[in-house]
Amino acid sequence: MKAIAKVAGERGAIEMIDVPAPARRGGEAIVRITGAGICGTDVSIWLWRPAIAKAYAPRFPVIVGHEFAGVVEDCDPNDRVARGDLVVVNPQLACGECYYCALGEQTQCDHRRLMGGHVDGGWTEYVAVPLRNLIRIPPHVDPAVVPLIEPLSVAVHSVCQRVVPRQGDLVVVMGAGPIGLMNAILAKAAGAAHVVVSGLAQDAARLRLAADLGAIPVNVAEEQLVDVVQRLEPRGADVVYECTGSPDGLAEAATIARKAGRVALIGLPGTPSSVETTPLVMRQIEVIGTRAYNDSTWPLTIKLLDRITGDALKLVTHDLPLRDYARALDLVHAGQATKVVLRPEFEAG
Amino acid sequence: MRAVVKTARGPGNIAVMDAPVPVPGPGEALVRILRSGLCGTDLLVYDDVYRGRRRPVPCPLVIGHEAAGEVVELGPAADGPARGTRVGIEAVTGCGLCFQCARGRYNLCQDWHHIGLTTAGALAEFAVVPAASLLPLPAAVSLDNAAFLEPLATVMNTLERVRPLPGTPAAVVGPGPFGLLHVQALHAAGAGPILVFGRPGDEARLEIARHVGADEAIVADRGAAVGSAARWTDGIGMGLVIETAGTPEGVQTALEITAGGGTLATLGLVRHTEIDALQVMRKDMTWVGVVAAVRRHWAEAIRLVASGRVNPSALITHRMPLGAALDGFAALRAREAVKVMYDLAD
Repeated sequence: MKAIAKVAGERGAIEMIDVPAPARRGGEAIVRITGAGICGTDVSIWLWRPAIAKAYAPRFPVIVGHEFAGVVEDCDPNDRVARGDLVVVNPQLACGECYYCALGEQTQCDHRRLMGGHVDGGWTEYVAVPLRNLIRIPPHVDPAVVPLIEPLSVAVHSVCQRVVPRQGDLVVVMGAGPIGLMNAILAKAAGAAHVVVSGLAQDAARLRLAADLGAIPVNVAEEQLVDVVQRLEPRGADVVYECTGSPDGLAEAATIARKAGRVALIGLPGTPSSVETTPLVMRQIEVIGTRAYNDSTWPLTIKLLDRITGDALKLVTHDLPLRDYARALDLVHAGQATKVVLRPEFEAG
Repeated sequence: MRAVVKTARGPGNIAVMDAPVPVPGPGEALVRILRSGLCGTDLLVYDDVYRGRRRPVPCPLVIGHEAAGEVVELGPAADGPARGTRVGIEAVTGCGLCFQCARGRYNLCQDWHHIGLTTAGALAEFAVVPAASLLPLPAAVSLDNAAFLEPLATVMNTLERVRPLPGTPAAVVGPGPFGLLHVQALHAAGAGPILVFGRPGDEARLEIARHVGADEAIVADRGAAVGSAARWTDGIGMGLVIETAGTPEGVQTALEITAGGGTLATLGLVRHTEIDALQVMRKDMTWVGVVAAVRRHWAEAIRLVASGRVNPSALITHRMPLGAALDGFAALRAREAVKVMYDLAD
């Protein structure tokens, strides 16, 4: 079968290769991929950014892609899924035995591995997945949204589990990438009165989308985020989600938060941040890291789809065959695409 | 002025009467009432079954505590919004000295006062209240919605206590105005599915429940409610249950449909109910009571209404002049009405 793989630990080095279809081991199912997404992390893998290089696969090639969904092709009888089921894959492989797994905090598992990062992922035709990492999609869910469930779960974890806005809050989302926009959708669904989304000049299309989602867009090249926040509420923002991954994000987030406000860090800067901590003390700011998702997040995301599917689908700007992966990576890197869905349609090419 | 007065103890004894316009004393304000809503508690006062925390309802007393109006005059040494300001009126004041008051929870002050229950209320053309109880209204808050701020502030207290998470299956037992305000707020909070259970006679209220965010709103006895909750949650039960029925059956139903690890908030007024207390332990659940509200809940209620995320006035089924006050009592008692709103504006 065809697969898109990182073939060496260097910049670029993502190629379409031929590999044997995976064999099924006990406790696994074979999933035929129907749709996969591109994440900023995939771009980092492509560019071999230092933050990724440290945490990446021990050997090459490794198949890229951790946002993917498909249909169960083969599995032993079990009580989770059956052949023919539409499923989304939780690509976070947790050991199930460590302290954090016992707490239900799989994202902190001592032995955590990510499909598409440490082990083979979903930019291919077939993949073997542990049964407990499969989530069956109920029949009423629009299949178009299914490849988005993984990134949506990152947003659900941060907004609906880690740093939940209070009803009527002023919420600021820094960063208009897919996760930022998904956080905006969820903050609105959680009862925020106003959701401000900031972006760069190159994010113009994404900021228009933010406005379409009911958020207040701020192009930081044209106006100061702090001014917009002050106009809306002189006290400042109740909750700030830092989704830019810029090293300067934390300092700015802490400045626009109200006293005793909460700052959630979702973005991943590759270099250290400098922040004046005394105001954090004096203003009693809470800074909360929020990473990926836990097993409990996935059923919650699926429950929330009734409310957010329409908005989430607005993020999909491109639907491309998987063989066009290089163009897709370019589009995402340049900010020309918001969300790209890739389809493994090799025969057609 | 015209006022609705509980004239003496005993069932009934409520009349629309002429009374002198009150004069604000030190620290007080005179407010011209423009909207005033009727609450289930007013029916308890009517029936003489309401029992206050420390003191009985002093008669004669102008009743009513859900109102909005405009400032007419500030008394001596009163610091408050300027004449003509549209205001909501906080219902509760504390002694300001005790432990609960010191930590900002004057809704728990043993020496509390409550307009319309211990001091003169707002089912009247004018009311004198502490100037510190007034909250200026932003333009985005209509007078109709402002008259709901008192119950909505208590809903905000509920939300503070139970912190509903988006996607939490939630049920409201008792589709009165208070229950339906909770439905609106839970809907705004992204909770769901939202189920509402009533008893025979609640059909009109359940219809409104469906319009303000309920996924299912049905007449249900305990067994039917348990069945519905199980159907909507794959047998798990409701993560959050709000009891606003004020009946023993309502409390029993609410307890029964709460999921393992779930939270039940009781707001109904019912004294004696036989329950299977072991369920509370078996379910590892949290049972909280919610009483009234303090100023931060009012501030949150105002901003939530101003944001448009809730629209309490959707619950107004009956609108009438104060002169017809007793017709409103009858409509509320018969559960034909959800919210009876007295319109006192010209």
